[in-house]
Amino acid sequence: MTHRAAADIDLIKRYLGGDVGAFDELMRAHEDRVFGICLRMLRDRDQALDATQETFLTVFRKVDRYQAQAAFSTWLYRVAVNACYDHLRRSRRRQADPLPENLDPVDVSSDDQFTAVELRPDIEVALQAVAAEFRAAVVLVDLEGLALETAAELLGVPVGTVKSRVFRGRRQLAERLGNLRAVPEHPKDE
Amino acid sequence: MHENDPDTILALLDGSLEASRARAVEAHMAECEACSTELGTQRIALEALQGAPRAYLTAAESADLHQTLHRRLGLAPSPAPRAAGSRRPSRLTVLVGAAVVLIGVLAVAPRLSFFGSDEADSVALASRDQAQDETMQPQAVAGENDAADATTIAAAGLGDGASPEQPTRSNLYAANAPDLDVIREAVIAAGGDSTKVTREFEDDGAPPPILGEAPAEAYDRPDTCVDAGLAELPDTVDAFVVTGAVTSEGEIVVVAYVPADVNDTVVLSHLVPSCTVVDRSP
Repeated sequence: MTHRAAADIDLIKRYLGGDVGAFDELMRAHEDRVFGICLRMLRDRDQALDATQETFLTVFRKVDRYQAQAAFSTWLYRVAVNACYDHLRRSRRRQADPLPENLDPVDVSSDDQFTAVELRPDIEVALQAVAAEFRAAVVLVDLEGLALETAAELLGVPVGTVKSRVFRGRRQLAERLGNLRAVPEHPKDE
Repeated sequence: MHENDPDTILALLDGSLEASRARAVEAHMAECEACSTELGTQRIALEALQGAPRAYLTAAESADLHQTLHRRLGLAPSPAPRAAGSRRPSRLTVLVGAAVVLIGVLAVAPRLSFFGSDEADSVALASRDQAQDETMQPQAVAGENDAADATTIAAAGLGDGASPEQPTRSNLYAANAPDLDVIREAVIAAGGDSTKVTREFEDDGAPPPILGEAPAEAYDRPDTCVDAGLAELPDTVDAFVVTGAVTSEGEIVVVAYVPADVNDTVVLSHLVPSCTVVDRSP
């Protein structure tokens, strides 16, 4: 067990024992990473904040049932990925709805401009063109640096599937970045 | 696809392929256009991803998140939000691109100078060793650092506030000499111009000519702006660079965290409206 995993278990015990400070400490240890996953999955900062909040709500409402068989972080990130999938599904449904008549013009001076610069807009735009399930694998493995085995555990798929998704996600990303010659057929996902 | 399946190419890229197998695969790549194209494709994406900055909540977003969760979970009110000195970037991060080049220029100052200018004014450098023992490293928070962290934090007068010595720009620099190679890599990783990182200013002690120099007393003032940038350090930092810029909105502190894997370099900026702007020479 890693130092972080052990520290998380200790914080959970303290939280369940009524130590509110442990709650904040546990959140601080993970909130940036959860938010990073959500932002890369959803791109929209407000949606990512919503998904981050939903993630922590879900986890802390059930934390008394947490069994330390898997790392707390693995569970947390799995909830985060699922929250993102929910947001993406809802977004797709909204996109299928007719647009409102009075759309506000885009505010080019809005904070989103800063956010986009912060996150390297070329990569972020390209990432959004990657299929969601491939994007999740790429975000977890290549951006968040999780081990393939950890990503497989939290995505609930075999390691081979994660490899395939990372492989295909990178390919889609590179194609989107526009730096490619023609490439051969995609391998089949497992 | 030829003999190199995705597993093989992924393993080749992450260096986990056995040496003899890697040589065989590379030999095949040299002769097989399809496979070498695939490898190139994967490499383009991987390098783009590894060069992408991390995303962070701003201090205000973090405070809102904590308060909302406290309320919705029925917990006691959240403690006071983090001070403006959180490591979290303001959305003024748009300025980082320009500022990181200044890091390269200013990193070579013979001491921690306080350069008076509307464009940029300071630099502090430190480097340290840090063991990285976890795959999933959390971001460190004050009071949560290990012994290696404590050394740097104590030198900077930070940590849990118990240090008797206030941090100043000069004692920050004195505590840890900069590793220019690391800084060059950080500047490159952050999209800056690494050629700006030289020791030329060390020779004559002069600041970059485009910048004025602050009065001597400015060097040693306790600097809440620098505190702000260093209040919380990531676990995996090997070195960090701080610079700042003064704008009409306040003082912006820019911190480049340079971890063991330079691809993970993080450049953050903080708007610190409460900082006192000292007088500057013309």
